[in-house]
Amino acid sequence: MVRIAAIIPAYNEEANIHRVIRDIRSQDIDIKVVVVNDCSTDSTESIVRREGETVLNLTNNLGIGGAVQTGMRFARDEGYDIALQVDGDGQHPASEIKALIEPIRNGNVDVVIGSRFLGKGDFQSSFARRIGIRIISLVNSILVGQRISDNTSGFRAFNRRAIEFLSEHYPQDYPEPVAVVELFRNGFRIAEVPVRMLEREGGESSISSISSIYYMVKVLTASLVAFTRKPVVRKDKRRS
Amino acid sequence: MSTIQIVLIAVCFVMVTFIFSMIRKRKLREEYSLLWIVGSIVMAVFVLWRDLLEILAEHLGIFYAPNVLLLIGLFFGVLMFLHLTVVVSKQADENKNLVQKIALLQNMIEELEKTCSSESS
Repeated sequence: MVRIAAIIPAYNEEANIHRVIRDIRSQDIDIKVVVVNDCSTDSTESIVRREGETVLNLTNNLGIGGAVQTGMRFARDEGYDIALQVDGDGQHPASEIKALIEPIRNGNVDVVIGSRFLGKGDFQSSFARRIGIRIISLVNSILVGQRISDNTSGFRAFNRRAIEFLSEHYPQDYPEPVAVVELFRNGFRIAEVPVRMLEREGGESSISSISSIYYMVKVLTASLVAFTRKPVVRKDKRRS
Repeated sequence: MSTIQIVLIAVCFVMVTFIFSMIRKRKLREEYSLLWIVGSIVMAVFVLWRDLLEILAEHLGIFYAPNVLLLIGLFFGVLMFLHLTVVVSKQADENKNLVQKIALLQNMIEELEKTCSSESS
């Protein structure tokens, strides 16, 4: 029996979080829901408790990287085989989870990224943002030697080995794109699957379109630095 | 020895004593005090060996010797800033680990309480 945990980082998501939880519960696979409450100032915590799900409360705001890592540590300590990362804003439909964990269940890969840009559904975003996403994708794809179309996607699945790695080494500043590079550098096999994503239903995205270019420059720098970092996983321990 | 030398030596002495007393009172940790002590000693060396500034200026090709002081001061300042940001980064990382651990432990306590209350009822 494969044990699966869905890690949901949440900062002030009272408008969406109950829908995200119920959506995951409505699937016919058994998934443990873990909401990481990143020091929300609204009623996110009490909503999760009312739904009867596990909530991990961070006493300080750590940002998305620190929040997801907390979930990874939970999954590691509690012995989960697969960890899902799902946004707390309702962008990621739970119906796509099956497709996301399929490659891991088959044992082909360690990490699966749900991509908006592989043909399933159409995703609208601003011009500056699309260009930024394109350039990050180009640079990261060159760095890891395989096409990664959606580096900023927060809809991902990880196997046990990746959970253990990320528990110790999760990038904090621009976690999604940098994690792609760091996972590759440490010998993890990454795959992308096409997924449908929804527009945000409430609240605000963490990246506004005005600051996308600034964001892009920072991400590219962080990716390049991550690439020059020495792998932490020893070669002989890989792919065991 | 000129008056200014005596005054500056006194300043260096007070500075080093002050740093040591802060370490003794545990207001400053040894690992962060080293740069300050080294800075004070460098200052004392320049005060006692007045020709050193001229010699350095000549070797560095600096026409006006006091500019060497400016250079050293600036260098020391930048080094101190860098050192402080390294310390802050380290603390941020440790802080993050603590916050995560608290969250996990809190959850563990809640789970234990749940099993305890269901057993007793």
